[in-house]
Amino acid sequence: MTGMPAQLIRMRKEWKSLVCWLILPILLTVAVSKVFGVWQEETKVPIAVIVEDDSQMARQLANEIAAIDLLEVRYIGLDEALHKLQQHELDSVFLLRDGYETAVLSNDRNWLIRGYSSNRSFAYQAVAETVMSIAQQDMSRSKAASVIQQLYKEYGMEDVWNYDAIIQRSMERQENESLLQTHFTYGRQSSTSEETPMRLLNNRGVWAFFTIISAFFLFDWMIKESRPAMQIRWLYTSISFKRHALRMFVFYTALTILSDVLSIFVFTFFLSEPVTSSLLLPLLTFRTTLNLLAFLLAIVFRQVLPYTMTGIAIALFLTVTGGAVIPLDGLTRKWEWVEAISPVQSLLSMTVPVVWMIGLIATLAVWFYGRGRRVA
Amino acid sequence: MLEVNGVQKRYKRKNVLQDVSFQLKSGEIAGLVGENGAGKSTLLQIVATVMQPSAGELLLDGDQYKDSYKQLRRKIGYVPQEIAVWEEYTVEENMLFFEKLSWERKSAEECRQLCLDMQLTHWKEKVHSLSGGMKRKLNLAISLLNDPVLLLLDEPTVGIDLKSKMEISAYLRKLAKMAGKTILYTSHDMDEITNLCDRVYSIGEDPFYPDLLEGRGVEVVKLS
Ligand SMILES: Nc1ncnc2c1ncn2[C@@H]1O[C@H](COP(=O)(O)OP(=O)(O)O)[C@@H](O)[C@H]1O
Ligand SMILES: [Mg+2]
Repeated sequence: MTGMPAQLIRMRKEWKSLVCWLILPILLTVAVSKVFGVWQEETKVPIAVIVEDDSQMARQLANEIAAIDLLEVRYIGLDEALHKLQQHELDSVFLLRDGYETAVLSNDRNWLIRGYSSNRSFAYQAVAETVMSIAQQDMSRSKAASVIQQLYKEYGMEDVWNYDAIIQRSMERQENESLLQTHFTYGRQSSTSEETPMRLLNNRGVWAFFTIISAFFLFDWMIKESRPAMQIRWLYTSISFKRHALRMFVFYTALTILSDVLSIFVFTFFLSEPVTSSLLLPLLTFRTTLNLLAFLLAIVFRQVLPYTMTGIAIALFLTVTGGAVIPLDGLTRKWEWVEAISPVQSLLSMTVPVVWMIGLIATLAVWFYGRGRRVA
Repeated sequence: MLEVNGVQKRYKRKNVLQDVSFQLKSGEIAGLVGENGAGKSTLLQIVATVMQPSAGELLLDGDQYKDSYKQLRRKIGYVPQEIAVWEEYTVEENMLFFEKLSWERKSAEECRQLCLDMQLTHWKEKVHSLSGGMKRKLNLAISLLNDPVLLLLDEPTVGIDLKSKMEISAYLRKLAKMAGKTILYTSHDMDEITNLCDRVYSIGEDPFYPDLLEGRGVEVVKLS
């Protein structure tokens, strides 16, 4: 213990619970993700897709719908499908009408897809959106092709590229790109249509939830260290209590960053979560925001229990408003402004929670440079 | 040397200290007596720089209090009435924690010796399992880590067993007579006060304590 800073004594003493709170969010995230994955497999939403149009484009659209994890797609006749929809055996029905490809190529929006839903449809809205965005993409591709063709026509080079060749090229291009994109993007903010907007649970969101809670359990030292009966001692020490607390904050933050690095490794290997360098800054700022929040709130509280209870409430609030859980329906859509300011949302969309950072650092400065309670 | 000149303290409407003046030389032990609410703790806190007086001046070794509170605190050891130690820490952890934050460097062995000097054993034991007497000793030991020249104790022997009480008294005498520290402390135990103190200051209106000390061979001075 000699030679060790005073700020590390508590850490050394409470190392067991410390390690526990550092590791627990990682373990719980892996557990929830695995359990939920199994559950999600068993509870796929049944829909029917009827492909009337015998074209490459229609078939591809049907394949992309089938590729959505959350759906169990059945290929049956329209009458049977509608009957099952009425019986609520199917969530919704999508009909790619005869002439789909022609309609796309001629840019006729009205003729594309027909969706059927019942009053108990759960996935209709989300599937419809996905389907529309895929169709939209097909349409803009065809539009671009016709513009290019028009240009060539004007310059008398009609033969060099024909319409089909351009579309073919554009599709190849997109395929190559989307391989890259799915590798880099995650969460529902990214707007590539390749990405499925239909994940009930987001690993990073689950991790954020448990991490917020654990941060409050990790930072309860602030309540213990600022015990009123001990305040008198800080008059006779070589550094002020605030400076001491700030040093503790730095040490604990360093530890939590270590655990974040560990969680990146665990997620990469156990959850096949794609992790790239562009996640580092958002992760680091999310962590700093979280620790500052836990630290500053601890100044207000006197008792550990109400403090950690508040921590759990905050974790729930930020995770739900951040859109980490059930981003399926329009529930969070009404709350977009809340969602935009949740630091969890920043983590999911891989941005920096600027507003939170500025607010918390300013509060920290006010606390640090503000007058203490004592006169002398 | 501690000089207190015309110190007054008012809390909102209440006048607690009126024109308190006295001097203490190094190596002297002075007791402070008075009924509850007389202002003993208030006076100790003012001398300890915890509180500022409403009027009057204080000097320690010729240095004005109001010029340099922070500097003076290095030379003052204040033992609060309420025990201020980390309950969940061991004696060792408490001592080393405050040693690291103190102005003076001491080795772990020196810290342990400081405790042993006042019969504070149980070095590796957690504070919450210690007896009241041991806790009081630790409360005192922590305040001595800065090697203060002026030691102020607010009821250091209240509510503890006789043995611990006598060990603390003996240690305080040693600190004054051998190490030349100036000590001002409060107590309700008149036997202890008469045995230990060179002089006793009495504050408050109630003549109970001065009367009690009459004829015990100790100098009693009435303040304010
Ligand atoms: N912070 C304070 N605000 C107002 N009144 C106080 C405060 N501290 C002490 N007092 C009052 O000052 C008087 C002296 O208190 P104190 O110095 O604690 O007395 P003692 O230690 O001799 O029992 C008491 O009447 C007490 O109620
Ligand atoms: Mg008192």
